[in-house]
Order: sequence, then C-alpha cells, then structure tokens
Amino acid sequence: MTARPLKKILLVEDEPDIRMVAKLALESVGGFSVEACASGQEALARAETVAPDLVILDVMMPGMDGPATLGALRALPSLGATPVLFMTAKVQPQEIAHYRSLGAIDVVAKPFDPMTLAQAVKAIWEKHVP
Amino acid sequence: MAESDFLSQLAELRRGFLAQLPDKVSLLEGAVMRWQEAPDGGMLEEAVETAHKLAGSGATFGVPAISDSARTLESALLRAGELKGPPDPAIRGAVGTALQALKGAAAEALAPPPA
Repeated sequence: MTARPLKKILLVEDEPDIRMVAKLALESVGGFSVEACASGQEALARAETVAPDLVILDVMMPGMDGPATLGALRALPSLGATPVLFMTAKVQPQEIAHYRSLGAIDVVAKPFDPMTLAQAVKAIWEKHVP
Repeated sequence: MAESDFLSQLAELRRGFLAQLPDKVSLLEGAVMRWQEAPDGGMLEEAVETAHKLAGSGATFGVPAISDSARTLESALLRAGELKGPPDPAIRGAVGTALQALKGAAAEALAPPPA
C-alpha cells in the first residue's frame, strides 16, 4: 500500500538558524512545501490557513513549548488529526516514549544532518501515515 | 533547486552560524559566571537553555565538537540544578571543564584553515 503523499509541512522552531536550515533541507532535498513559524503562538495563528499534511515541532521553545503547542493544535477542528513530529535533542527511549504518549507520531533527533533530514521525515511519514 | 545551489545556501547558513558563535559562547559564559556568583539568581535556566541550543545546532552546521561539548555542559548544569543550595566544588569543576571544552571547540571552529 502506498502512503498518502507528504506535500506540505508546518515547521515550528524558535531558533532562526535551525529554522532556516531545516526549511532549506526539507524544500531543496525533500521537495516539500514548508511554512516556517518562529513560535507556537505563530503556528496556532497560521495552522488552519496553511492546512499542513505534517507539523514538525521543536520541543524546547520559550513561551509555548512543543508539547503545549501540540495540545493547542489538537483543539483546532481542522488540525485535530494532523500528524505531528517532535524535533529535539532529548531522544532517550523514555523521552521518545513520553513524546509519543503526548500524541506525536515520532521524533527527529537534534542535531540533524541537513543532507538526510528530508529522508528521515519521509521515512517516518511512510511508516506511520497510511 | 540544483544541488550546487542547496550546498551554496547551506554554506552561507554555516557561515552565519559561525559568525554568531562567539556571541553565543560569551552569553553562555556570562550566564554561567553569574550563576556561580549568585546560584539563586535565575541564571542557571538561561545557561541551560543556551547550552541546549548549542548542543542541538552545532553538528547541523558541521561542528559536532560544539554539540558534544555543549551537551556535556548542559548535563553538568542540569545536575547542578538538581542539587539544592550553592554548587559544590565538584559541580563547579565539571561545569568549568565543560565550558572550557566548549570554548576550545568554538575557537577551533573559528580558526582559519591551515595554509
């Protein structure tokens, strides 16, 4: 069975340099369309308009962190079932299990390799999204 | 986008990261020093956050030693936070050693390539 194609990603990352390199890698290597937000609040404001196939959330952000943003996105009618990935340096097995318990489909480890980030995201998508 | 364009933009982003690295390390060193002077002054959280961000970004920009040393420093700072009261000499030593390693990694990353 072929997975539903991944086309549009909402990327939420507060660090400008990481946000730019992740967007560049996902667009240039993966061919995805990426809308980038600098905060959970900005993501909430734009999410329904963007209507992403996938949301990638940094975990540690000032103000509204990744888990809080995930919870708020889940309350939006059109984002209630949108797959969410966390991007974090905390990737011990118990930490990954915790993120999954919050509703994330998986975790991308930081620091990531810009050359392989898109492939990693695509593999997670194909594994988890029918 | 052609691969050469992607690599060119990636190199530009790496140059930007390296250009900001001295300021980030100085910010982190300042936070660590102020925490050591006044452990209850709220600077530990800032130091942990800055170390965490460097740990999560260095290798992405081709400087894995920054990620490694920043992660060691973050761990030492988190241990310090778990212990109540003023940091003991062992914790101070671990933080100091990790900070020096980070500064060394930053200096190496910023050094001009050998002729």
